Amino acid sequence: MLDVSMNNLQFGYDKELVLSGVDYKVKAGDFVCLLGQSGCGKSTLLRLIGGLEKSSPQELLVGGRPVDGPSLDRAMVFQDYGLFPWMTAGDNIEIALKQKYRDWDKHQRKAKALEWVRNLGLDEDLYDKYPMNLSGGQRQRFATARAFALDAPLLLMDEPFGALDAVTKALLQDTVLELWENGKENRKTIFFVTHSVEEALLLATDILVLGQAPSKIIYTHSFTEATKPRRETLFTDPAILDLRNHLTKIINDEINERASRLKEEKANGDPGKTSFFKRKKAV
Amino acid sequence: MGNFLKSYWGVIAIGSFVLIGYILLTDVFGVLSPFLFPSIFDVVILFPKYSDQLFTGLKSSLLLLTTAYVLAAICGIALGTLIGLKSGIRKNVTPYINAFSAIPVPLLTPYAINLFPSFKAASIFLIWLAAFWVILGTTIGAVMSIDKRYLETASTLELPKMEKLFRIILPAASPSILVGCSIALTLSFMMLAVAEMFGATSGMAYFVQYYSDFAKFDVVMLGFLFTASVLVLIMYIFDMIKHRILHWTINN
Ligand SMILES: Nc1ncnc2c1ncn2[C@@H]1O[C@H](COP(=O)(O)OP(=O)(O)O)[C@@H](O)[C@H]1O
Ligand SMILES: [Mg+2]
Repeated sequence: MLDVSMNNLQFGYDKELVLSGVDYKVKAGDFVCLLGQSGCGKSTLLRLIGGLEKSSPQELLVGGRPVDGPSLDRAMVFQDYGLFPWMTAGDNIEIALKQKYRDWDKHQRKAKALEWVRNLGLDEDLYDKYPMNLSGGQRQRFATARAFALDAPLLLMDEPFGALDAVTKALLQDTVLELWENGKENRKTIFFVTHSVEEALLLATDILVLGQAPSKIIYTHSFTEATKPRRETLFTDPAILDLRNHLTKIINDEINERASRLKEEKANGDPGKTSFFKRKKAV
Repeated sequence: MGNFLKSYWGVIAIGSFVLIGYILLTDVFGVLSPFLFPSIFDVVILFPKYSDQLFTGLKSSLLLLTTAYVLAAICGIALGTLIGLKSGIRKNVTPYINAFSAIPVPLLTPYAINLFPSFKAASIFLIWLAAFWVILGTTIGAVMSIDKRYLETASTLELPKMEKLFRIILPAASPSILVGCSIALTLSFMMLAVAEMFGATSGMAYFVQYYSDFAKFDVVMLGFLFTASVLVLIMYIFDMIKHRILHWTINN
């Protein structure tokens, strides 16, 4: 429900740039998947949108306004560390709802939290357990349930299902897709970082591929309602298979290029201080 | 009872072993000097005679100890959290914390006696100070080293300041803070003994000190045994509280 516009967005943690001119406009309700090799700045881009890192005001607009710090309007799901281990899984959702719906009492919060726990296919018995007593998949579901329960118009997910087994991953992908589709004309805008081309194809309306750091968007693909892949067509539809190979090739070319550049540097540079620094930069 | 035996049989075994060893060295073979190491049976038999003194001592020692320790924990955790969170304050006060905490607290005894109106107040101050530095130092470190990702998650949830303090920062820092608290507890026992060496009229350490001046080592031994049991009990209670607070960690 929020549009995001990145206008030649540049960012670096220190002097070196991580993002060097990311330019893209995301319409409200789009499901954007970010692909790219590790270290290219996918998490950084997500953190900028989430307000955890500071960007120049006009380079990044969410809902037409510059991002100024984190907000309940932009719910985040990380790969791990999403839940506070000293609270029960249920309390992890309720503490978030307490900020969002300040006039609700405890019963209302719990009812809402339980509703989302069920929506994510979790057993209600898990509600009072501590995160350490849950499996990785269950923890990720609770973190996702919290993000959805907050009903934020923008959802930022950083490799949320990266560490899960294939079956759990597929279940969660379907759940997220379904919850997003159920939003109808009020769909949430979702940014989803993944390193799996298949996952991106399955979920995205828009796929963005980031190049090597300092990175720009090097490839984009948008689906329409009709061309959007389904799990059933993912491995059968020739057009999708082509696209999948193409995306894989782009990402691999980037990796190969980087690898050969590293090799070259190693061969040319004297093995002293300079090459150490160069190499460090490249990694 | 069966359960108790099951989980503590090792502790009981070691205790019995030491006890039998002591009896062998004293009563049976008479290896140790009977003057410094009296028979355990002679010591235990003294308990009824001295129990009034021991329990009065216990009461006054515990009063000093708990007052000082609780105050130290509150001050140490509160200030440590503040300093740990605010790098501006931290930068300015760290040299002073380092300088003052380096002074061995027993050396301050003469100042404490002269500055405070009563023996009690002076002792409480000394025990407080010893515990305070440790808790302050560990709390600062604990708060500083909280995983950034927890704080980030808290900020994406827009938690208000107080909620963030009590539901995120303190729980996240609690494992390290509690390590500091347990070191501080041991230190306060030691400072208690130092404090009771002057001006006290009763107390557990005072009791031992008093009878060793008269070379009554059987009574001294009784004092040791009594004090040790009290310390074991206090540590046991402390550990229970600790486990309760840290029940969410994997190691518990
Ligand atoms: N907090 C940080 N401080 C400094 N450099 C960082 C920080 N976080 C990430 N980086 C650097 O920024 C680059 C991009 O990282 P990241 O966005 O995490 O990549 P990705 O998520 O695509 O794997 C990397 O080179 C990484 O070392
Ligand atoms: Mg990442």
